Amino acid sequence: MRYRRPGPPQGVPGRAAVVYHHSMLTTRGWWFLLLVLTLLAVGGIIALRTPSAHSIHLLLGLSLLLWFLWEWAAFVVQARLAVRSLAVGRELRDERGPVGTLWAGRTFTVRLRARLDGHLPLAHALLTDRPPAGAGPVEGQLHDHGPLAAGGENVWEYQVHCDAPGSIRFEGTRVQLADPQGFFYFATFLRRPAVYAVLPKLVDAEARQRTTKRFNLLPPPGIHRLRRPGSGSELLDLRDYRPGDPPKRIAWKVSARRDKLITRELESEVPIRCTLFVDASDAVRLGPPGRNALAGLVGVAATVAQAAAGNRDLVGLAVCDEHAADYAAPARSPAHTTDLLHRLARAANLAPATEAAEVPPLLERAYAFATEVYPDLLRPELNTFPFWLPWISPPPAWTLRRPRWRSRLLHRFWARLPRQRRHYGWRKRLAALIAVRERLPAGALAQLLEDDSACARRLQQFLAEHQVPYEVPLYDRRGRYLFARPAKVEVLAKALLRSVGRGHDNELYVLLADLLELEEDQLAPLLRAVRVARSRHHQVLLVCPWPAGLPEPDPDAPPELPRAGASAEEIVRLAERARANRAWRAVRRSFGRLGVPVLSATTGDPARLILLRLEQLRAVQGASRG
Amino acid sequence: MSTAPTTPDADPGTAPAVSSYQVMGLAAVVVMGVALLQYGAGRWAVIPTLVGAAGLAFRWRSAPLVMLIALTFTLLVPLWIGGLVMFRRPASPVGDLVLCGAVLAYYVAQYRLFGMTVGVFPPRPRRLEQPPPRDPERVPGHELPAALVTVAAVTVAASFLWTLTGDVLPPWGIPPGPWRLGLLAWGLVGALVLVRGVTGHLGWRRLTPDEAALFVRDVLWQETRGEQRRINRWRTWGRQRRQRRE
Repeated sequence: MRYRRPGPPQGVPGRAAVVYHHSMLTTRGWWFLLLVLTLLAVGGIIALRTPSAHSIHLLLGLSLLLWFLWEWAAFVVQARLAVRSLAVGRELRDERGPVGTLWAGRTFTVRLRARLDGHLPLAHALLTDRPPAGAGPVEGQLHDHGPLAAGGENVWEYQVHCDAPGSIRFEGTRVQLADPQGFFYFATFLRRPAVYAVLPKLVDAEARQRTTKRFNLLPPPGIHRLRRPGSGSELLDLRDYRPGDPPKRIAWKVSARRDKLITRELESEVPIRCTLFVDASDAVRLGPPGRNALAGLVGVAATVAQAAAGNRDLVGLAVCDEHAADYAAPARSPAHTTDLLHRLARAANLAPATEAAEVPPLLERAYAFATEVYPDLLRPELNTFPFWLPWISPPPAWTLRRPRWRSRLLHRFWARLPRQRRHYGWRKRLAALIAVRERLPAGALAQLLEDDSACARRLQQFLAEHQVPYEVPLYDRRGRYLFARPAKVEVLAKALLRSVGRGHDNELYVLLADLLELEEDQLAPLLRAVRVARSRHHQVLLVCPWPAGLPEPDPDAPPELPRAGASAEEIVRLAERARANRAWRAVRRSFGRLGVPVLSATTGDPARLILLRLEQLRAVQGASRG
Repeated sequence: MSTAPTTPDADPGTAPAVSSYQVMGLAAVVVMGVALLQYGAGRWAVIPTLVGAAGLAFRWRSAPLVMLIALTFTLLVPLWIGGLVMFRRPASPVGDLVLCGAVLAYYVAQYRLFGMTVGVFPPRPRRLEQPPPRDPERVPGHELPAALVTVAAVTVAASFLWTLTGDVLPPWGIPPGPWRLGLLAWGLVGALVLVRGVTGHLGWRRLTPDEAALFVRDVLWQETRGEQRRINRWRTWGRQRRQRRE
């Protein structure tokens, strides 16, 4: 079979990217083989003692053994040859047919089609689809089992529910083969990764509009939002001619009927430009996907983007992390809105990463995943690891990142414990797998094997790419928070200055960023950029995520003291709340000096407040133009 | 095209495939009992017959193994009763073939029934959803005739092979008994090694690019393991020292 790279993220049937053959005898097969060999041994003993004897035992054992070998040969042919012609295609559907993009809060049907080409059938195959993390199934069976004739097809389906915006990734289908007796077993994984974007809900664009709703989301022809005279193209009213009215606005037919000059008044068109700056740094990625701070920010941004686009305003987007900003200039076409939603969906799925993460927990999770999805690249024939290597040359203590005195003393013995030896072997196999997948240089395998920081970084990338959740440490050994990420401030400031430099008119800039963990001096670049924006008469709003589990920010509340006899948990909770309120006050003070309101992303309705600010801006501009 | 979703609540015992294998197994047990009587096992022939019938009727999971033990014991009874004289009787090729065929047919039927009721896949190590057994409704209709043909062919082949080993004269004064057994064992082992070698060679020839790249990297790592390990440990040490100073 020729190798094919994974195709586009559609459910088009294709060949297996990789086939792994791993056949073995089952317990049933071992028992049967043992008994048959015993029978043969009995027959052999009798035959040795009486060479001219007629040993029915031997003949019986030989018959059973030949049958066993025949079944084995037939099974090996299926497992090594026939399964290479197996292709599993996936198609996602809703009630109207196949879809390429999913929407949060909806349920979709996954239809799988297994097709066996070639001339060899499969006696019994169990095909189990690997569902995306956190998306189901909600109904139906993940698997299909039965014989598969040459040229035949099996179809089965199940349903997944998409809770939060982001993306879902299907890895492929697990294939298990067995003979009709259950003597032999074979497992493989047909990798066919497909990533589908899950866009934010559409309904919220309407539902979170202002409560005193005056217009539809998309005004029909003839209905206008800002009923003020202006220089648009739509007719607003007819009135008597006033001296100074441009002649081209005179309605000649009406004037002739009424026998006096009548002037047409046209609608005012006041599109507002709004740019959303979404913080997608590691600071907001912490937490379960779909329920972390980033999901909240993405939800607000998606609602604002859709509602503003519905009002025919121009919306731009800058997704910033601590390294760079992904910028989309303001526009108002439907394609642009869809593009914004795709960018937000991509951002919503990012996972946190830190080089300070410990290797063993990541190793265990990554190896468990790899044995399921990449069994072909972990085969001992290809990916060897000498069992004696950890005994001869274990990782020394002086390469540890944070060696303690105990580690220095006992490392020589500790590194030879069974768990450490096992982890060393897993690490080598995963390092080789990652080096091949990422096309790393030749020496990367040895580097990942010895360097904890590099290994932790690559393992987190590997897990994040496959949407496998993992835990990261929040604080280092000195108690310092690892995810403040002050570098993002510079990126946000640059993105804001870039937008200001390209701004046309009074615009609205919405910063959706977690700044509560930063000191005031770390905010200085962003404050300078905001000052520039304000000096150009732009409006700026700041939306900060509020820590989950804490009551709403109340900057005016006096610090609450723990009662006498309070538990440690209660004291920590109060301290955490006081710290968050203090940080909230500091941010509000810093931005309040520049006339920038600060909103909480998780409490209240920030999307509605942003839309209200857009309306106010429109009214101001409309009045100034009128 | 696939069938409709299977109904796990349906009783697999009522499916035609299950009934067919049960009939085949029971018939084989009866024939085996008759053949054992013909062989001279006497009343002991009842034991394997009853064990086989019980295994088929109640899907007794240990039945095949107990049956084989009982059969071995029953076939050894003449040895106890008549000594080695019983084994020096002239062989009845037809009787042997019938007995071997009946036993083999019983095993085919019994294990395939297990596949449709208990399952064919090994149980999962964790307490998760267990793999389903074979769906009797989806067993192809040609499976039973093919199984009967296999039984007949394998029985004849075993008899032929055993006869063939007797026709090759032992060289260098080797006694005929060990020679015949050794010939048989070497023949089987050679066939196994040949099949294994051919399939292994085909597997190496069909490596995917990722597998081939992995193999090459692995060879490089094995060849330069010591040097790379030293270099990377010193690099790691140096980098960490630099970070600590910063």
